[in-house]
Amino acid sequence: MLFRANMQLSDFVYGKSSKDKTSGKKLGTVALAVFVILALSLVSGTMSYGMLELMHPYGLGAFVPAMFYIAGSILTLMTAVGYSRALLFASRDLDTLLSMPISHLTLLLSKLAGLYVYELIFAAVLFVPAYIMYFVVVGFTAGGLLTMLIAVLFAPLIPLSLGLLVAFLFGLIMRRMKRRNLIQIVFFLLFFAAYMYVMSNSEDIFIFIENAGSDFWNRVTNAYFPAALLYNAINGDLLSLLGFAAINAAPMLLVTALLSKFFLKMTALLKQSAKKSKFVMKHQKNSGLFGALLRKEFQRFTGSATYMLNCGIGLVLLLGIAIASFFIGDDIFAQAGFADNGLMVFSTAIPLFLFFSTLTTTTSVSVSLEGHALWILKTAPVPTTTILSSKIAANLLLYLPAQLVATILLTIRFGLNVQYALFLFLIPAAALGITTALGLILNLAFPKLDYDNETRVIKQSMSVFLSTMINILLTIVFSVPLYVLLIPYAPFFTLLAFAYFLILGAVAALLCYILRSWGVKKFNVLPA
Amino acid sequence: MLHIQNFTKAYSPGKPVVKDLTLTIENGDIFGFIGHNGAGKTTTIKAITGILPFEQGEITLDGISIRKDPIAFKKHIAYLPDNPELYESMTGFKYINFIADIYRVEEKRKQQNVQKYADAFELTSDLGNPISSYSHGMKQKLAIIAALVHEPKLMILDEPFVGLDPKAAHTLKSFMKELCDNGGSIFFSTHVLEVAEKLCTKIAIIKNGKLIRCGELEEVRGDSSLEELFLELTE
Repeated sequence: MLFRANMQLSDFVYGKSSKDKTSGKKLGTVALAVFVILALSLVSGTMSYGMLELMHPYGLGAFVPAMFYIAGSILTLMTAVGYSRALLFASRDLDTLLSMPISHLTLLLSKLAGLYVYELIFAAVLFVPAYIMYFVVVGFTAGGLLTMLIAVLFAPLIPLSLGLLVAFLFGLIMRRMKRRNLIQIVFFLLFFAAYMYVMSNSEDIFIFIENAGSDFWNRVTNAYFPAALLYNAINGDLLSLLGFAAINAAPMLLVTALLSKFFLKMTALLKQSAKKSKFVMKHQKNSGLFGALLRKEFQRFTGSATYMLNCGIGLVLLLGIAIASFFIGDDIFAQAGFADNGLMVFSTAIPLFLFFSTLTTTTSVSVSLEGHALWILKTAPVPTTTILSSKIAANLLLYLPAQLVATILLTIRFGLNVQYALFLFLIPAAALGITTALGLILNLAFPKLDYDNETRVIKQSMSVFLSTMINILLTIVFSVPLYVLLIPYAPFFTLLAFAYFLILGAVAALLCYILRSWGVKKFNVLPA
Repeated sequence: MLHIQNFTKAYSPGKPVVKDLTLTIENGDIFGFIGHNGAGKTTTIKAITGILPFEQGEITLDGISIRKDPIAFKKHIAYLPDNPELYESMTGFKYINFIADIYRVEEKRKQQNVQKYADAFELTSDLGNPISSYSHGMKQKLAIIAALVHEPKLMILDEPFVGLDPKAAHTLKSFMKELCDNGGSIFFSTHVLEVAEKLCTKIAIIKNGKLIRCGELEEVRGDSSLEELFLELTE
């Protein structure tokens, strides 16, 4: 019962609204979930197939699932830290559950079971396609299938147990810090920079791997002993398979035992907050109505590391790419042979600008994040159109300056002329208008006001999911006219680009009109 | 003056939760609204505050209709829900300033009111801390301060004393009286009948969506206590 209560996988499985859903909506939800899993599996399968083609001729095929196990462990460790904090240590129902006649062990097991299911999904999406490709390339055996099943089921356990400890230690360090959001963001950005560095040098890494031979692989897998056991198990060693299961299960059992013994003390420690400062009343200048609402949106955005990282990641990527291009763009474009070709620089930059600017929007969650505080806006003498406008303005004000800075950097670096520079800014800006309005429409259509943790809203709600998927598709759709019209008809670039900008602007205006009519009605009937 | 005329609300067709409710709250009234759980109190309050749209009946404040001119209506009211969720990412001071900006309170007046109410509720030293660090009672106090800072004509309170310590409850009562003495009015729901008896000038009792008693406290209560009357009427 507790496990079921905990397994509120937002709108995808359970959730307060699941009983109210029509069969059509449920089918749509399932279809979307299947689509996402298939898409991610395709990526994993393709990568593993490529690696197997490289390594199987040298008899090193078994290393591929082992490497995916290591990669999967790192990724699930990251997600485990976030989920452990949100769904266990900072869970809103924790106080209620602790006051009930439920043993700490039962409570923990129900929460950990939920966490395990989340991590299992990640592990399975990464691992199973790699294993399937292994069967395709190397050959299928019943023993191999058993190894795969055990590997998938046991793979999340070490990262989950580590994630729990890291989440606790992280919370312990940060509990007295006032600027904890900032620190979380800095950590994430450092990790992300490292990830981008690895990805940008991936070709060199693959060449190194190809030349490395079996010694390298032995060293890598032996450095992480479970991976070495898995490698042996894949090669048919049953004892190694049992050892793999045991070595993955042991930390989880230990951490569970520790948590159940010290859970109350740990949660009490984490609840200690930053030292409270003595407040001195300062003069606060009045803002206008719109300014107050906008400031509220920004305060909410900067008050949550999860919100900033999930809905501001596109901004970081856009600026990162622009800055990287400023320093190394010459080399890349020179190799491609069009360093001096403004149109080619424009055509390369635009899809990236479109993608990063529109990948995530604050508007896809900003209504949901009002949550149980929605009564404040609903009882305030504020027109609904002003409320919705402030939410749109918040996203635009985040991304437009980044688009402008990125445009300026590329213009300086590649000496773009006025027309390329102007439309490098205007076309993504118009696209941003579309996706910003669309995000708000989706959030009004799929609000999630009743939540116990904002992580569920920001990472798992239907509006966020749909917004991200649609925006990725829109990036492709918006890019098509560039290659169909702007490049072949380059002499008419200015005219065509301006017409394209107007069309995008008109679509954005239409969506804003929909918000002013349908959106206002939808907001006004939201329960508060 | 708040006037509710023939207010009816149904969440599903044919099943009204409030039926044909009519009552008037005059300036200076402290109006108690009592009823059993599920009687329709919160539905009525939410309709008055503009949270809940409705199709039948009319609610006006000094002639301004909540349906026809909700912005003008809401400028003169303040609402305090029974369990106020606030903006956790803000500090108490920023929240009050936000509310003051929304209601367009003049700067000097805002400063005076914040100082006055924060000191009275002993929350001044905590105003610089994030609302996420507040206890339930502190959030309740903050919501009250924010409601009072813009000097509303009508305060609508849903179980306002729940979570308040005795001193804060006493302070709230004194401010309620002060607001009414200055020409405003209070409309509040409560299950604590002793408080209603001591504080209210008028009482309305609602049962299964219908108003069964309404009027001056003494007239409604008669010779019995409010509790006895309530139990008798709601059996």
